[in-house]
Amino acid sequence: MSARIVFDGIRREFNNGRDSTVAISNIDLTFEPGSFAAIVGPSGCGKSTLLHIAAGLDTRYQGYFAREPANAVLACLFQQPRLLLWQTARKNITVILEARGMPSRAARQRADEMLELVGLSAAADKFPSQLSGGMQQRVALARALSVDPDFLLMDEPFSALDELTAARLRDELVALCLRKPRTILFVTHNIQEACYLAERVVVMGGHPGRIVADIAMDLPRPRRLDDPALVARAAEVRSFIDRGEVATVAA
Amino acid sequence: MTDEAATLRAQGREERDGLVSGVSKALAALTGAGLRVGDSRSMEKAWNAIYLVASLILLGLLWQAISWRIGADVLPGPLAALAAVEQSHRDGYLWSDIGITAFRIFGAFCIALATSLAIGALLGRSRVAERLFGPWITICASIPSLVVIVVVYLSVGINDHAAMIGTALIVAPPMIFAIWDGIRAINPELQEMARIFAMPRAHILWRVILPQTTPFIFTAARTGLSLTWRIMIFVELLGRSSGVGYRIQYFYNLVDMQRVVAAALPFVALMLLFEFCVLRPTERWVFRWRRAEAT
Repeated sequence: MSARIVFDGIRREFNNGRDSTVAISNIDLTFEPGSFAAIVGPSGCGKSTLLHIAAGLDTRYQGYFAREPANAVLACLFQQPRLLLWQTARKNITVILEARGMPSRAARQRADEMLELVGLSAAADKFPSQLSGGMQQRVALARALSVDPDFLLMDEPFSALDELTAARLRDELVALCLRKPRTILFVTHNIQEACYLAERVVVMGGHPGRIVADIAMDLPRPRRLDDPALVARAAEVRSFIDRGEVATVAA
Repeated sequence: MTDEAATLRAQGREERDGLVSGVSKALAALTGAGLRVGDSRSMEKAWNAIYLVASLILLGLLWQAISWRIGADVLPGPLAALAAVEQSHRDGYLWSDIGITAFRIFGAFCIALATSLAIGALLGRSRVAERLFGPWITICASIPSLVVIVVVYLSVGINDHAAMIGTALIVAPPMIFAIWDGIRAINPELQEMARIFAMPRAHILWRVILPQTTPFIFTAARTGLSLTWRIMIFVELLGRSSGVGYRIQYFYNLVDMQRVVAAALPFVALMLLFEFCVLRPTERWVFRWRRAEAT
């Protein structure tokens, strides 16, 4: 069971004393269950505002937002792994599972399965400081998958990694998605990454943040980065981003 | 704390502070040696031991030199002080003094720690509480300790409870500041993560926020404990007829400086022993995830 995500006429203003800035406005988006959508755009276009609303961290928006069903399980992968540095890799996962009510023995077993899934069985008893950046991000991925999320939010999860590690993790993510589809919202400023991973690419432009284009990526997965069709799509996305920026400058 | 600092100085006790820092440095060198045992670098270990011995001898010589300079009747030398400790042990009051003072310090420290944890957490977590009660802590911190002690003695009664409460009230504000600052300095990213993963609030507090504050709690505990010991001596001197503080005052009145130093010396050693045998190993265990990087 994966979740449907609905943004309807979302607008978010930040009041900062006297002046207020509109971070995003007129956001109408629906993400179907099991779909993988990427949101791309330059920095300052309101991607993270949208993400905060989607994650339920920000509730001071105008308009309608819903995760359907309302009790859909949510998980998140951030740019930084955001692991508990004082816990081992395994404990980082079991802490979350136990907080959600899973008995400790089952949580431990589940954590070990997830670590195996991301290829980190050997690192279960290591502290994050003993793991490389890529391995830490894998632990974070294992943690996100351990709750069996209906809705997975990813906030530039590979942008802090070196390109080789990032490429490998992208492939693993595609493989995991093909195994079990979940609703995924993937925020990035990397156009190629968006086109490589997603089934749908939403392009945002800035000031105020709004949707510039909504492009379906119907190429079969797994894809190849040097596939001419993918390169052409990336160029198309690119032109929308450029046009979005030009429009901003003209206004 | 300027008032009791002045009193202590007036009673010619600043030498003891110099002693504390010197001995603590020596013991720091000792634990340094202990840490490197696992490295099997025996040369390093040997050098650490040599430096430790040299450091202690140097400290003893410095003490002796000062004693000669200002006169043994004001500051007795290390050997004379040790002899006086031995003498007070034979007289039979040494261990009862230490025991009763340690008990009072323990009580006061527990009260101070519990209070400062609760208040520090409240002020660090709630903007309303911070703005409403934050100034109170600043005010509490600036009330002269002497006033606090006298008021508590008069309202609670001249007994051990008053001694503990009075000391705790003086020690708590700086500890609250340390914990409050620590909680404020916490990076909100991990809390965001925990909220997204639907962790209940109590779990977030215990499993995510509290572990991040442990470094600050250790700092608060360490400074709090040494302050508790120094204040407690003063509190005993004012209103108790037992303990190290009372003994110091008693021998001061008899102008027996050898016994004054001898009264303080064993407790200084005890405090250092606690630091190195309890506090540091606990700290090393709690923060083993930090050292893990090196292995």
